[in-house]
Amino acid sequence: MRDRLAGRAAGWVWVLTGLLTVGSALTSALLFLRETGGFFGSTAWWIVGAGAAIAVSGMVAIHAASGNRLTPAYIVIASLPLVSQRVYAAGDIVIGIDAIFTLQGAMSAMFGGLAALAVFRTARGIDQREVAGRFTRRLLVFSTYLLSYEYLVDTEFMFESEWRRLAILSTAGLAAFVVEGLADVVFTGRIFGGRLRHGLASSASDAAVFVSLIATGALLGLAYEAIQAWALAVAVLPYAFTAGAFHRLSQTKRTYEQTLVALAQIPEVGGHTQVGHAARTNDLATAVAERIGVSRREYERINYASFLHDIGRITLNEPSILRQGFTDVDLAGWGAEIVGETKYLEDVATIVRRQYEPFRSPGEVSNPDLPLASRIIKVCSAYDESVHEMGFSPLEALERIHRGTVYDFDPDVVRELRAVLERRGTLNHPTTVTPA
Amino acid sequence: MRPEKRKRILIGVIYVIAGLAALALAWPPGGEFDWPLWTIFTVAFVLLSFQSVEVNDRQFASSSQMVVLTAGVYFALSQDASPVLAMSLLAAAGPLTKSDFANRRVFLPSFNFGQLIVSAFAAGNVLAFLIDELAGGRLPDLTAVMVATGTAALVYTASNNLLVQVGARIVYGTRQIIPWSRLGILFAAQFSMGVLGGLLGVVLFESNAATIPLVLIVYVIGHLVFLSYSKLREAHESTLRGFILALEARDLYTRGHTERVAYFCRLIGEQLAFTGTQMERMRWAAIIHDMGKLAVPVEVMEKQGRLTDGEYRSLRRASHKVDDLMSEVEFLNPMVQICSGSHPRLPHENFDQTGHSHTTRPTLEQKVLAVADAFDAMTSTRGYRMAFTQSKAFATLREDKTPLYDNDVIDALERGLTGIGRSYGPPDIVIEQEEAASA
Repeated sequence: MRDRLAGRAAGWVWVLTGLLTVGSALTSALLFLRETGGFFGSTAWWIVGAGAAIAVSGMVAIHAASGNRLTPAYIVIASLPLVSQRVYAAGDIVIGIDAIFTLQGAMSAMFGGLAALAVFRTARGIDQREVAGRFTRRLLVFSTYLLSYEYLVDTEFMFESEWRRLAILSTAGLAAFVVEGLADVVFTGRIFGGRLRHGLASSASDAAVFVSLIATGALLGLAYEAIQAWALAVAVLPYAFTAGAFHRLSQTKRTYEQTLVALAQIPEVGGHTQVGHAARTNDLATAVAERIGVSRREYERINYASFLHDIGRITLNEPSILRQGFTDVDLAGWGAEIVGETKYLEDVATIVRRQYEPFRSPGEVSNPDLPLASRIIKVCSAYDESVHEMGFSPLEALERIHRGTVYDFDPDVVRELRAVLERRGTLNHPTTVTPA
Repeated sequence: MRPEKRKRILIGVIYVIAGLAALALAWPPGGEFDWPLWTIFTVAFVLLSFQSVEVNDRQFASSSQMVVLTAGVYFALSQDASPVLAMSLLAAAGPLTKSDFANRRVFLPSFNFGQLIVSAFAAGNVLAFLIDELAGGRLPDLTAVMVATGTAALVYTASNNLLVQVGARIVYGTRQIIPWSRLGILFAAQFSMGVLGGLLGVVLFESNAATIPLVLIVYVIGHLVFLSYSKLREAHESTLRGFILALEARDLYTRGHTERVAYFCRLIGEQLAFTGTQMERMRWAAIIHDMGKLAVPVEVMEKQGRLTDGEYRSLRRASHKVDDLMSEVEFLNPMVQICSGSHPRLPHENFDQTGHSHTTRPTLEQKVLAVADAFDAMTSTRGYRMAFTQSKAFATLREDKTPLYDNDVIDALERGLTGIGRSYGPPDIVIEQEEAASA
């Protein structure tokens, strides 16, 4: 049943992609004809050129923090109004006259460029669902930008000065960014429960990339008025600079995460923890954190801390420690010491240090200053140990955790863990509860 | 007063006087000199050149120079303003750096003050002359501006390099050798940056002030991202170091071993003229080369007395497993290759099954790490023996016929240590006296 539904959905996506592509190609052609007066007039070349630029630049992606694909096509779109003004001003450099921006020209360039991009992507064998999704998102964002620009240029309330155009550009850019964020949340399916907040936070983290793309586009447009084609060189330089910076950042981030994953597995190699415990705890803890809807920073901390929560066990390669004996509190403290060597991970060290503290002691409602991250990790780690080390079934393990909510575990976190496990279908044997 | 110090003062004073003279020559700023804009340029220039983060290539140097040329073109195009003064004054603001303040340095900033102003003065004159000659009143003539800024950028770079080299040779007696190939790349980069700076100047002049915030926004964002990139990179390194510290903290004998191996690798690398990338790779390799010791299997741990063959093998297997884990990190993969090839193999060990390439012909980098590692092991005391003296360690390494202990690499380490006048291990004299006493 599920498969059949999925198959049908895939078929619909095919049709949708096709319709979108053909539709936008047609729209583009219509607008183009209307704009150029039915034949290739003197203004045709810039529309074709801009469409080609959108298609080509759409294939390159900048590494944004959230993993979204923001492309230099935004630069082309952002520069379109200013370029079209220069084209229609025909040689004279006009400052302050904004009325002659043509929406049709810009729109036809956009439709044409996006259609060409979709065709190219499909030909390269990229999943239709993804092509359709990206196409629609771009279409929404780009049209928001162009339409708001058009609207703002026509309104009277904007002040008259050389800064007017910059104000219009930034407002249009802001509108486009809001639409981009909303589209991101909708298209990635992060609208349910606490995920909405998480999704929005993740899109907001792209603001830096977005602003630099729009600013570069505006720069391209302004420079085009002064030095025409050479403007590309002027705009490419800051673009290359920021793109390089973003690229390095995302590469290093990936390297860093890979390194932490590798380091977190060292206790497993020595046989001091179950193989895969760190990765499984991380998987559960991040899922729970996403459901609760934590901020992006907090999510990152939970991500790192859940990988590294048992790192104190590498200390066990010292015979004298084994002879002396040790407690969970010692282990957590040693782990925090190792993690705390890195200044960047100081918060993570605190989380690791406090992961063994109970949620509340007798007579307490809760331990108010115990970090949420520590509570999440305590619950997820205990669940994973029950299943993979002690051999309980998932349901039995969850039952043990439930019983532990008296003192050890935070009932709210346990509820979210149950929801995560239910959603994943892990708890599929409801009748096999055996008393422990 | 030490002669080196006297030379420093002399050169510093000469450079400062030359700089001031250049400023005086360029002086009348002209009636239309746009001071607010000049201030913006200065802020951008200072930010770009000295808030700079460590980037492998010279991107920041070039982009701050671009600001100088943008200013030059803008002021050259403005009627009745002196581009030479604008550029020289801009350069005068350059040498202020945070670390100079922190370390209370005087010589370096004054040296830079002089050489930057003189370079900017020379470039400014070339620029003004070329724009006047080539453009001939038709403004803006893009080709003329581009030729002029490109040439001015070359003049700036050449003068900059020359002055630094002369100063360094007189004060430190060293010769800064940049290979021709790299010099070519440097000049090409500076030339294109210069041309772009010129184009930007035209845009600024032709269009309005709205361009400035746009350029600034893009640069500031890029700069911030680079900052967080370098912070993350530091975090990456310190995380790995944190693990090594955890390892070394409990073992009195190996404390500081990793840091010293990294240091010896650097010494050898400098002697063998390694590139920046190679040096970087060696540093990482040194940091992770003992990571395998973090994983000691439980059964080996609980063992008292000598290890059996099987236990020894399981120890080695665990350490290879850690190598495998580390090589999952794409960035560390080449470093793990260096590390896993830098251990002398025991005859009965069969590494082909574990997937580690057992090379009989180690690479240069593996040799460097092996020599640094063995040298530090020999010159420090271990639980089972006293430390060797430095000369004995070198002699022992040279006698060993393992291809890992390459004589060229050993020589390089010896040269490096002699060069900085340090020696490791117990001093020779004590041993000689002891030997004499016992004889």
